[in-house]
Amino acid sequence: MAKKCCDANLEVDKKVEQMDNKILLMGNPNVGKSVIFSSLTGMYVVSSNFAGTTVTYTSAKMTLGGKEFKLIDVPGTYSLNATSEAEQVATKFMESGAKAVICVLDATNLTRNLNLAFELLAYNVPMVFALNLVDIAERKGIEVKSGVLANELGKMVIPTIAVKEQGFGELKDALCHLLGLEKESASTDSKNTTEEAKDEAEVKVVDKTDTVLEQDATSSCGGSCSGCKSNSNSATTPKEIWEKSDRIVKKCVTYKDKKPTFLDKLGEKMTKPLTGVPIALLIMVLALAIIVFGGKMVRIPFRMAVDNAIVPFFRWSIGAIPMPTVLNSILIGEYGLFVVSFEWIIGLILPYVAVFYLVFTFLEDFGFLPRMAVLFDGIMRKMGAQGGSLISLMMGYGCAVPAIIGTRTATSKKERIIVTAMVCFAVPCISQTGSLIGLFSELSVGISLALTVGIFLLSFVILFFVGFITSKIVKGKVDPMVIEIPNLLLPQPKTYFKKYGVRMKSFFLEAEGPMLIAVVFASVLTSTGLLTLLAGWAEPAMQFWLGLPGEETMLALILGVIRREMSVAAFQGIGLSPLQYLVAGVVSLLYMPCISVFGIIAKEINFKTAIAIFFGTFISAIFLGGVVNWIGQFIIYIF
Amino acid sequence: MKTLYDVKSNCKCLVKSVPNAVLLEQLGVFEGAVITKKQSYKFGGPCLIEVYSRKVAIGKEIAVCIEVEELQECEEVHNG
Repeated sequence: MAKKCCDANLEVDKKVEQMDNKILLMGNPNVGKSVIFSSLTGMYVVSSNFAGTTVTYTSAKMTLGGKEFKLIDVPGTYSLNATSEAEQVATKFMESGAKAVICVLDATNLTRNLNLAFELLAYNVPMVFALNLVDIAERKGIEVKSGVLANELGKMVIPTIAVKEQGFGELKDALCHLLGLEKESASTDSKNTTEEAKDEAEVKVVDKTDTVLEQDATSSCGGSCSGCKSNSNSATTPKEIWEKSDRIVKKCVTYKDKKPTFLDKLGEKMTKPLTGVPIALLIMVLALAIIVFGGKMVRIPFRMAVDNAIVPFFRWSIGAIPMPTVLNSILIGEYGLFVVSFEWIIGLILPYVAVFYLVFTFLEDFGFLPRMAVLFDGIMRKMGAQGGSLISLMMGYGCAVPAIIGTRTATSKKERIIVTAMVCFAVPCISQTGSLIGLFSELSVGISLALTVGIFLLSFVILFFVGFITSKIVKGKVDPMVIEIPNLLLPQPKTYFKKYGVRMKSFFLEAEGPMLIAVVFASVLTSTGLLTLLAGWAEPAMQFWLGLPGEETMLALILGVIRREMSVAAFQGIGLSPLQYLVAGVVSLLYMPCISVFGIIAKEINFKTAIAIFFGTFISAIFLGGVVNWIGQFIIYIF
Repeated sequence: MKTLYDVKSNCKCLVKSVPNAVLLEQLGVFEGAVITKKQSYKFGGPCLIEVYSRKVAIGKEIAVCIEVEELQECEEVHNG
């Protein structure tokens, strides 16, 4: 793993080490730590149905028995071998003198989860176990006797269903008990209790029971110092560790033969190539259709409001105020701040963003993405990456920034660079896709559909080439995929809409700022005549090579640096020919990703890569745009 | 000795040796583990296995380095 990208993490760790009253939330990847964290602290962190959503830790305040604690959502790990960045972070936290640890166990996969539990127990930090996903376990006919498990582990075990916020009252009580605080839960409402919580009383009694593990933990570490790791490793080889966990599982888990549910069967079918590939393609086509047509439907009322009410209102009210012509044109002219910011952002981009994240959030929580990774690993290998990177690529169709941050889960720097390059060159973000669809819809339905499909096909071809070329240029090796396929889950409305709400909010907060800057920039450029000056200088080249009007193209290229979709929006409503639309689409597809993407590349990978992508995308956009134009001209000339 | 990649689908096997890839052991693929191969994917795709009732996909380059012993007569089950 590249050192550079984790420096930031390690630095923050020092701060965390000095933090008082820490409670750690730990466990395997994809067991629901982030959902529990959100509920206990009221602070939202993004969770999904695949391993590695939390690539760095988050901390937030929580109160227990009137005392304030810092709950820390530690990245999920399978062990504390410190072989990956996430594991190093996790190990550091265990050694940093925490007050308590909540170890989250996946009830459907107890054996593997217990391996980590043993490692954690060796640290002599007060600990409580949250046995999560008991609902999914039940669906699969797995019953975990939490009382027996508690006995074996010598700690309290609280069954929870995190996505339904069940069992959290008991979990808090257990923490209070552990920390010697007054119970919280007179206030806990009874709805939150799971049936198994009845075992709780029984669970607490077992604290002092002499179990094998307790003896293990105390025998070699002289004191009971928190965070002091005991050296007793009764199990050392992986086989011994797994067998030890398996012995415990055999004691406390019973399996019933349950008929596989529809979701189980669908999950099975989705991993078989013969059925999986068609299902995957069907889901993707369906998703695209929902985004394209749903976006269009949502756009209708938005546009009506913008065109008939909002913009006329501002034109009328601001127009009434006496001011210099330049200022008037900056505010309410053709590219005026109060015109464009509503027409472009609300009337064009927002509807598509809103529908996209409805669909994408569902697919994420459903467990679709890891199955795609398995089915298309072979193709991804040929592009120089591996199936797991497909998850980051798919995120890129929403926004490049989280996609690039998501590449942290990659095991090599080379893979990070390849995926980042693919996202920057060939994956349009949803704002851009929305604007493209909006732009093409100025044409007849048939042509607009053909252009949309054509642009997407072209982007796949370019994706392949970018991956192939980048993997040849960047030295090193990309590790083959090792990925766990999670259960298919139907998203719970509560967590689903919470996540959706956070995404939309962050779209407004993070995207609106730069967009408004771009809009102001556009209105200043146009109303001061600066654009005409620049365009006059570049017009011949634009006309000759791209066959596009100088002024709009110039504006597109300048604004495109700030926000991707602005490179499309500039071509709106000027009546181009179908070929010109296509060329404009190609240029904007391949053109530079927005300014925040360069920032994130410089931070996550390095400055050199950011610069290379900056110039690479500029050159490839202008070059290929021209090629498409000339081929198009040639075809038109022949027929 | 056979590798995981060569073994037929739906075959239970005993892992004899694993390459040095950390995640493998953690997901339950270690020397002495009993795993079930579910299938492999064409065109250089991965192997899908079941281990401790969980499905794990392992890239081809790693799967060809995992040596296994078949635990029963394995019948070829065609799944495309």
